[in-house]
Amino acid sequence: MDEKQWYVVNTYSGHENKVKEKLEMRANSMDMKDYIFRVIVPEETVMVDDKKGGQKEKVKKLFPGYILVEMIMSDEAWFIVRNTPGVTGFIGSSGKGAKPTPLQPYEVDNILKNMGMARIDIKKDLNVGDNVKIVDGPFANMSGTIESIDEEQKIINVLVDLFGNETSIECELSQIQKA
Amino acid sequence: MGRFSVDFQGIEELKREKEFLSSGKEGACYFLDSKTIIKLFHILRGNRKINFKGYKSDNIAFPIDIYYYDDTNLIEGYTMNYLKGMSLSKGFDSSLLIDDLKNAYNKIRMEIEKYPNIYMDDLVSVNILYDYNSNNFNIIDTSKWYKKKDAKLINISKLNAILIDKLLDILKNSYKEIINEDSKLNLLYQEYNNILMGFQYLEKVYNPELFLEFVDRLVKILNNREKKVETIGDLKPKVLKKP
Repeated sequence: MDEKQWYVVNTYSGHENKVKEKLEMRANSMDMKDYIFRVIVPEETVMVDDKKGGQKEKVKKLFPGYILVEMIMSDEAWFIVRNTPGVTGFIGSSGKGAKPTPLQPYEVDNILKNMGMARIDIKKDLNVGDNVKIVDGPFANMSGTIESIDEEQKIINVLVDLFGNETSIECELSQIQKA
Repeated sequence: MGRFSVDFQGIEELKREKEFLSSGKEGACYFLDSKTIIKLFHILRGNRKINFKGYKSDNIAFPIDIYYYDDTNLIEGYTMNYLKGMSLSKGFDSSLLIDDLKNAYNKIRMEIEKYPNIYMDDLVSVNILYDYNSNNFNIIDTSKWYKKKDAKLINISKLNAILIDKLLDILKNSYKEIINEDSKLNLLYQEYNNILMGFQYLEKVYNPELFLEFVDRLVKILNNREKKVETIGDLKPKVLKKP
């Protein structure tokens, strides 16, 4: 399994940002940057009443006690994350050596979108000719190659084999996953 | 090991009456008395074979009694000895003496060796406690352990890797320089890395002396740098102050 995916990691509540910092530091110092990529603490900005009767912005954690980690689930990467100070476990791990279950792309997309981020970096991660899998919409589960990329509109045209004909499908970023 | 049958009402009553200790993603723990706790699963477990009849330890929290939902085979929870300590997931206290750490390591290692066929699947830092009053390691959370022939050396290999990992965390980015300075330490570090690469499915037996050899070598190198190392805090790299 060498696919980079998003996993939910359980932390001591209130320690999410410290864990993020520590994990990023460990990934860096232990040469695991090719296995452990982004670490995010899902947050949203809400308006709250202040003491003067006005309103102010406040950053609120969407899931207290949880962080998201984008990683390739090798044994070594699993160890580094699992033994990071403040981490109590992976969500979706059944034990007996089983690897945790990653989040579905649409689940990640919803969270990242709220934070002004995207699962796939259209500039860095995608190139014409890359193999991708469509994960959402009427063509879900079909694989194809990227025909063209519209960076501005964030639209990707994917060539798939439909009934023996190569057909171009217009996809949004959230509908594809690198194969 | 006893078998208890409880219903929903009985569990709710227990939760109300007993003092709460902590909660995790799998279940919540309550004190039954000052020495015994009960772990109640959030969701009834039907597939767990918690069978550690006759296993008793002062430093490993084996299940004592199992609580089943009514007369089914669904497990509500289980009791175990209350073991104190700070989770290794929170790191080591800086004041901990290296000699105390080594003694505590030897004691828990001997304890693990008493149970050669119990494989500790979830032996990770969050489930290893260090009791700073008695200078002992305690191992908790048996719910993902199972019987496996000759598991003890694999458990010890895992423990060794976790403890070395904690030392590397303390050394921060300076660890590479220190490891590269000494070929023997470098070899020990490679062995630690080999354990990491197969940690979840560890089958091969690694050098059981790895942690002790690593810590001794590390202390020796730092002492040669005119840095007297006696405590965990002494391992921390010195921060250079601006002139």
